[in-house]
Amino acid sequence: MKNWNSLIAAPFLLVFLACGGSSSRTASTPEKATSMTYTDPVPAAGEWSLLKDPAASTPTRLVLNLVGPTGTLFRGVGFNLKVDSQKVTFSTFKDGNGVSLGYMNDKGILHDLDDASKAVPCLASAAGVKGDTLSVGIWQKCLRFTGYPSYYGTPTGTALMNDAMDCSTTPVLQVALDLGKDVLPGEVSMVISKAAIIPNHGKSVDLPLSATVRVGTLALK
Amino acid sequence: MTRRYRRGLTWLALATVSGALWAVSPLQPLAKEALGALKAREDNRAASVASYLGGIKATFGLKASDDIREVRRSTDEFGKTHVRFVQTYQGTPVWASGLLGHLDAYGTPEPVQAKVFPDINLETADLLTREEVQHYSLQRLGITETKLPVLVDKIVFPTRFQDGLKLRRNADGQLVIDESYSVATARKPQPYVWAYHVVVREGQVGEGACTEMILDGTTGQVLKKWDGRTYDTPAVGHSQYNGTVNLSTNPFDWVNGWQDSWGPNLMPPSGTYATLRDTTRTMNHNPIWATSAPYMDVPGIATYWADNYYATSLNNNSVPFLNAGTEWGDGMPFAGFAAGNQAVTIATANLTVNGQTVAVDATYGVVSTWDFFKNVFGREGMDGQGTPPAVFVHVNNGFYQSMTPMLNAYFVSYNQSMYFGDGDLSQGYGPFASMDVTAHEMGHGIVAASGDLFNGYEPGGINEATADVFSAMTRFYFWGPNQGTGSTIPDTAPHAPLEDAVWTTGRQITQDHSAIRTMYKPSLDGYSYDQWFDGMYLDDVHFTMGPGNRAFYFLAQGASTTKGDLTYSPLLPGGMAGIGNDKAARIWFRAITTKLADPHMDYQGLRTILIETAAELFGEGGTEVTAVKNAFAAVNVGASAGGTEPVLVSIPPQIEVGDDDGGVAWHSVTNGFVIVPMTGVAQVLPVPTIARATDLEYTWSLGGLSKAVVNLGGKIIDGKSFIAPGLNKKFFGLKVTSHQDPNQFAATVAYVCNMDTNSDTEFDALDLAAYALSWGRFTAASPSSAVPLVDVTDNSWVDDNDILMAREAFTKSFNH
Ligand SMILES: [Zn+2]
Repeated sequence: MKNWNSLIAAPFLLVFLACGGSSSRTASTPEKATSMTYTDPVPAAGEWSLLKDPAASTPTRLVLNLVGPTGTLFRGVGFNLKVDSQKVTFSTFKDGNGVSLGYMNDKGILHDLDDASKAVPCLASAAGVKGDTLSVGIWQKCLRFTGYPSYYGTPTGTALMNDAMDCSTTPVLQVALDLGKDVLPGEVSMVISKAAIIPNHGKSVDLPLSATVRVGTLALK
Repeated sequence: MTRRYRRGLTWLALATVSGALWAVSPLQPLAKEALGALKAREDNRAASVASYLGGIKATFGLKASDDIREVRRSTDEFGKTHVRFVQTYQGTPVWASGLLGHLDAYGTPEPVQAKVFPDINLETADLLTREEVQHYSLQRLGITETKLPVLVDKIVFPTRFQDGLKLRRNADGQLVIDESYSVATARKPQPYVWAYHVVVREGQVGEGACTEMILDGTTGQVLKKWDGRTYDTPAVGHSQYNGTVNLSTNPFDWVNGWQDSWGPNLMPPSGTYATLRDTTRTMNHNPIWATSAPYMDVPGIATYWADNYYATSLNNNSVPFLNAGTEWGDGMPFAGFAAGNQAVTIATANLTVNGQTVAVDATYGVVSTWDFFKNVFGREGMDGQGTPPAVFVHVNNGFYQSMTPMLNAYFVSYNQSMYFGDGDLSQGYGPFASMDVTAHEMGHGIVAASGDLFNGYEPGGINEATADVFSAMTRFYFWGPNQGTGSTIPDTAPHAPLEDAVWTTGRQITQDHSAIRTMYKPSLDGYSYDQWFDGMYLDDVHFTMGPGNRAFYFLAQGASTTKGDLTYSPLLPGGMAGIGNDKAARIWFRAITTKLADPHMDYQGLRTILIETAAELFGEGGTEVTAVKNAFAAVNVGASAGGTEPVLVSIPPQIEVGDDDGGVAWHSVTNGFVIVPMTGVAQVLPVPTIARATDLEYTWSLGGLSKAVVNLGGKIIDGKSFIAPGLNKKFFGLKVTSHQDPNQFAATVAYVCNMDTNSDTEFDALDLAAYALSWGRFTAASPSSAVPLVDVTDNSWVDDNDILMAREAFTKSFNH
């Protein structure tokens, strides 16, 4: 699968200026936050999580990988993430040619269950921001057929649900946050307000189910 | 001009008005011997044109990496040789380019018309192989095989011509998304890409089975897609339509077994028969069919029986009409479908006298049209080179014991062939082989050989109008006082078989003799347009032809001053006098065959080359130039002679207006579409643009839902909104009309879809899950529980277009 993001490999040096206690400062000249510290969540079995991508992140840009339950294939996943947009803002990605990829770096790896060597680029993906909320989703085309006996007729073959996403061995997608300007240190609220998946159940069809996506804690320093 | 081609226009249009520089006096035809001598030197003369163009290519902005390649040539009655080229970039043809060079009778180059793309800068890339392109072509069409190889041509594609959503008329006459020819590939950011132009010939004539596409050269994505056939919608020896006619037949040694029939062998035994093949007009072979079957590699204009019944393809099953005697046909309507026994009547159509009748009509119509073009314009066949068309009759829909009658006829340019359907008497239509149809299809052949007018949008409408123009002129020529002799086109048709059968089409085909189209008042059919407007191009080409047909009528026969007359135009209330059929046809023919450089020419472009040609043929400042201007002003294309430019109302190509709380947005995906994610919130209407700022107000109407008024200047004012209804997912027509000039309006189509598929009263990226679940073109195999209420096309499945629209709507409504 293509690596859509050249930033991942960029050798950023994480340089932190250790900041001794801020209590000695006076209230009239508050120290501006200069970095973001994210603590990964600990998902329970079957849960999804947003984990920091250390290689892609910088002190002022936090890149989060969406990782699914180990060893499971899915048809799709999406969630709404609400943050305090006074302190951090959702960030966009660019591809290797500088073309904007929008608010999501889609890394979903697709498998053709009949032929693992086949690329199956059939994703309905979208990412957008409204107010405080980022909404992302990537959904694999869930039905496939091998022929058209007639335009509207029943397809030949019954090869349904043969393309699936591997969401555990590789992050399925990335989202990113930028540190806001002139923001004071402190905790930043991050809440998954809604999440859903389409499970992979072989050749049957499932409706989207609500899912749990764990998000860690974010502190500005 | 339509808005599509205005956006980001970077190509160089070097159209010199030849009248201003050259046409000191009108042209004079050459003597026959002098013309013959010039034609004999056409090779050298074409080479001179190429070398002249090559020498001045820098003036078009072409660089060393750009070159030109000849595609065809012709020499006209005035001894001018016209040579058509395409631009090439690193040796690869550039899509939509066209250059026309000319040499006069004395060998002097004349001004050049060119549509070229000077700013191409493409790196060499790792492109798909031809085999991969063929594979993708089938995959994109959802088919597994074709009867004929997929034709593949590498091209450079200017991405501004990328297609988007398209409309068609359904059986009820309503505009719906054309699923077959819409393209749902995201817009390419690059101005040019390497690409492949493919022609997929499934070999199943009558089932939409010749599709042309342009595929991205590296990804195989569809960038453009259209029907490879130019045909007509029902819009419908001893011949049925032409009385008793003289035909030219040829003997043929038939070998039973050459045909590839899947049914019982109904063909006559081997032997020598007469066939409907005319070698008096041309001895050339049709180059495409010559390779198809041994009995088709023959000289002349041949008519074939299209045996769909015991066949899966026309290509190996079409056989010549065989006759042991010298009389053909019975002059009666074809009884095939009316007889109710397809197996016998269709399969034996070739063998019955009644089955021959439609072949007699088609053959007579085609060779007569050939004579018309030769006698009046000196043109040898459609391409001017004497290449014969192949003529197929008894063409019906479907194959192999499962057919329905085809109420239509069509022309295919890659093999210069015409196909005529049987009609169905029980539905009120006889065979589509009357002279108006045969001449119309051959008119398409002239256009295809002249300018490659794109088969869609406004150029497609101009193509259809041109076919109707030549069809009408052919009938005047044969039904006029001289009945098909002489070299001029009369203005009367005393020998017409029916009243008003020349300026209309279809009267001979329809059993009640009603017209299918009416050139002087196109809107009489209920669909066609009497005048040009912004947004007209969204409709079918057989309806957008209206302004062209009407303008030609006005040019030839004039326009009435009496309101309410069928030949009155409110845009030219003072009326006009016509210049006569002969002059009007000469202007049209010469413009199309010698000045059509731009394959995407619109009505403004047509007006321009007609004015140039009128000046060239009849002198500048003459009544002919004035008449062209007035005729086109009468259909809302350009100013009348001495008049002012009309008010132009147009709708912005990209409409992105959201309401204040950011919950809703409008966005046009491509080609004039506006998507309205439906949330039950009042929608804000976009502000249209206008060419003249004096016009202050517009009226919007949304499919009759409500009306709203938008002021210019103030952008959005009161009364601007409408409430989208519940969960209905449908199109709305948007029409904006000028208050200053109520004749002026623009139109587009909005698409409303509910995207809250999980019914949580929010529209977000999670709602797209349901689209993915029902993303497939079938119904029966899909568990009903998995099909949510996202049938945004009112079909029970979701396809790539729906995904694209859902994504676009999401992006526009969510990113604030
Ligand atoms: Zn046509």
